[in-house]
Amino acid sequence: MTAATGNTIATRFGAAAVPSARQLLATLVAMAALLHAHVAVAEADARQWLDDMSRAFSELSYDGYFSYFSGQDMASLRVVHMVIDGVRRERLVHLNGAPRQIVRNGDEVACIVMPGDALLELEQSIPSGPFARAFVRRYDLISENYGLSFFGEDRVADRAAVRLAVSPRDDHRYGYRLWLDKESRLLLRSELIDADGERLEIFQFNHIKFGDEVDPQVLEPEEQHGSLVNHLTLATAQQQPVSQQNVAWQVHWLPDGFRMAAADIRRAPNARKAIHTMLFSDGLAAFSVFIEDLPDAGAASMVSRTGATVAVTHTFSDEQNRAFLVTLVGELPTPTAQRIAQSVTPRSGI
Amino acid sequence: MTEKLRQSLSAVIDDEADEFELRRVLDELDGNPELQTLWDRYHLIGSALRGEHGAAQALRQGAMRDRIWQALDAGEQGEAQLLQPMPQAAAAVTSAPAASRSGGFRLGRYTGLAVAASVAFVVVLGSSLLDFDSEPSAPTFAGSEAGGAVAPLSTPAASGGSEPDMLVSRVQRGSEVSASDLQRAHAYMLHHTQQQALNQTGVMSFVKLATYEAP
Repeated sequence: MTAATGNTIATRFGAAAVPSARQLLATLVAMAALLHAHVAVAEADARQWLDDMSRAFSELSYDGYFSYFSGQDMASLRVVHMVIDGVRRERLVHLNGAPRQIVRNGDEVACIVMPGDALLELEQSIPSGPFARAFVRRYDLISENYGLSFFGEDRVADRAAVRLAVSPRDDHRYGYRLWLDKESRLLLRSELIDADGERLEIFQFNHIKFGDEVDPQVLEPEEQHGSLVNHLTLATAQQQPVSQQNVAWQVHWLPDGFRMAAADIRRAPNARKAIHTMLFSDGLAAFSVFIEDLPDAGAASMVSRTGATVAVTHTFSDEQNRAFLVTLVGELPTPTAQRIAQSVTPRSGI
Repeated sequence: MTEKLRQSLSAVIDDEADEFELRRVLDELDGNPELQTLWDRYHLIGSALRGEHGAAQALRQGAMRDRIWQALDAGEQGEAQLLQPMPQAAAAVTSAPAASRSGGFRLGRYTGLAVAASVAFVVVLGSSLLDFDSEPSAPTFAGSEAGGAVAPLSTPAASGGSEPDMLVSRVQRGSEVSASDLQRAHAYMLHHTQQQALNQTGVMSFVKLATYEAP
């Protein structure tokens, strides 16, 4: 077999005379074109996998245990998901520390927690942007800012997985490595990585079952003695796209591909003052900008980071000498977050 | 330990020390284990509050003090360095002998403040963030004596730098991170996480919410 193959090659090369430079060039061009076509096909294919992943998450029945590592913390959780009579139902249970469950029934979300839990501070309603279903799921937008490529196969939670790299095209956002279930295309493992390849967040299923194996009974919240419930509503209907023109603040520098997805003026819980908020996303990464009057007591200039999420502050004063505090929170490299925060100014003419 | 020395130490940490006080404290630190312990404890408390590990470690190793000394010594050779606005002074502390970067501002009475500020800067920064490139990109010195800074603070780290993956809080001009600063940062992080979750901006959004811990 090997000998035969060898012979064939020898014959082929023997048959051809020494190739001319022109022939060589033609071959190279053809190869480059082929390679290019191959990459394009691979990218389209990868986009399809991402689409499938997104659909798998929202349409399949699954019940699994996973680990989530972010910053210094490692958490274990259980997720159960089913679509019953066209309604998405989901239960997420935190398995460490104080009991914490998030139960979802369609667009209604309930956080069942113990007294003193940070999730009790969640606001009942939060404005949503237009990007919910429309923007985020559009992986063609994502590929403007990220390259997609497969990089082999692996096994996660005892299942065969295909590995997909989502690599940012610049230094202003993080990359991802995804392990997608070969059969269902559900995300089995993901790593959020910085420019040095350092893993900032890891999500991984340890065990998962699908389809008929999932018991609908598990969707019901478990009795939790002494617990409190905070009800929230998911962003639903498509809203009017946000126009930058209507917002009192201007962000002068944004990395390519980031668009404003929501803007709002909120009141601080314990104060009467207004806080302007803006949410930006490039389809994968997101960050929020908060602008308020500088508190009388001042504010520290700080950088605080947990996993991939960074919070930076910036203070400045306008022409009337009014001092403001800008806080940016999001999944961005620190220098990028700072550069954006420092580029915020009042919109002139308002 | 004398009350005076304790006050000086506290002034250094609160960014209120003049250069004389600063030198006195640093001098004492070398031969005074009690003062060393107190210095470390002050900073450890601050660092622990902010969940910093790097800063505490670096302090334990005395690396900070060495850097500050280096900066002061370098300053003796070329006064310009001490007269630089805070961010540059801070940068100078990190890359000590590479002193006379162009265009040091002449800040006169702020000299001591600039140094003290840079001390506080370095102290809370931790060693891991000290490798930033110190491009003197026309920074503005937040030249008010006390209270809220109204002038823009330039951030040397903006020009790129290593990022530790642990929680790091960084304070400039020695303004301590107060409880209300932390409270505000926490509220905004939660708001951002919630907004992402409710907008379903990613498969991880609910996971982030479910695992959210107050910083």
